[in-house]
Amino acid sequence: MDFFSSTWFMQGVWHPLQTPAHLILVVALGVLIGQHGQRLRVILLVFAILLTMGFVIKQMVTFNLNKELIIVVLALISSVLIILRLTLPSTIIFLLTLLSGILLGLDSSPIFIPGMGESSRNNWLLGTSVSFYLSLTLMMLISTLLNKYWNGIILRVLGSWIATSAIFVLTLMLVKH
Amino acid sequence: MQMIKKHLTALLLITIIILPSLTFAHSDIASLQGGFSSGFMHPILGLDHVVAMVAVGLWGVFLGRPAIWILPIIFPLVMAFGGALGVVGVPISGIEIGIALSGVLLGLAVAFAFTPPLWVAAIIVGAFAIFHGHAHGTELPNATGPLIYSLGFVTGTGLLHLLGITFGELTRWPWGSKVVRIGGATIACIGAAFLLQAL
Repeated sequence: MDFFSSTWFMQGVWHPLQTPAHLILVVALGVLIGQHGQRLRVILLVFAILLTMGFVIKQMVTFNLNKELIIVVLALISSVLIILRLTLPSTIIFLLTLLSGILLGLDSSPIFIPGMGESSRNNWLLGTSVSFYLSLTLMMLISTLLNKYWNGIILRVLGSWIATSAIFVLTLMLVKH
Repeated sequence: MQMIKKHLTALLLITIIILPSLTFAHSDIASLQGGFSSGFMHPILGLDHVVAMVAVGLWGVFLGRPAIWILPIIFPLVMAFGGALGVVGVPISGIEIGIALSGVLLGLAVAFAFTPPLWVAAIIVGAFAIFHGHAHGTELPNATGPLIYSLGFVTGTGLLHLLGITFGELTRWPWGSKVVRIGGATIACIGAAFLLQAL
């Protein structure tokens, strides 16, 4: 039995990029963290730990939560904070990172195929973790750089785009419920 | 700063190495691309939307800072409110008239280099954004992936504002200001044609 499967790993890598709700949360969170530029390494570590915790909890407990709805709400909150560009206490950034990490972990799992081995699932989760982590780091670094130019306007415009999409989709979700 | 640039280069290199190994023929990716591009093309393919969006960018340049970036932020946010009304199914009469009027009035504001206080400009732009948002919002429930569709049309809208801002930057030169104002008059004429059609 292969210990490492590149197919499952790459499918996991694609997961955050194929799931728009996850993608906008990672982008919004990355931009928000980069905009504040404080304790980046600690925040990344918190995110990685909470994401893994989310994966583990998902295996043990089943939640009847509409996780996608909460993820879009978190993206909306993060994007509004980006637009307002307030000086936030690091506790709020940590809290948002914590919630985002755990919810993204809880909402990520490979499509179940009968006879699917444990190693395939683990490879998929590894790919997803790497992808989430790299995407968040990339967004943080890009926004840290962009924050220094034109008073960070580009980031605020990006925040308004994410907020708009989140409002549209939240309305649609609430109407459907 | 140097450290961030170093990290960023390393991450971009990793992305470039990984990307070719991913297959773009994957059906989910294809559907995502389809959803994004149909949302992206929605404001771009409608000339009535295009002229109004470009006019917002042009007007922002005439109004100067901070309007140049506040208007393109206000527009999508209020558009979301209009869109929410569209999604919920709240009817707004005269949507097409409102969209056409936005082209006429915003075009005239650029043509006459009208510079009201920022809050007045924000209210005018915001009011028109509701009509544009409602038009997008009524189409959203039919989209296969609403989130990716909405990201597409918000990006399309934003890029049209950027196009207006870029064109408006010609006002740095004395001749450029005339060119931009002629552009505003053209937008008003196109808006008037749509208005006549809508009435």
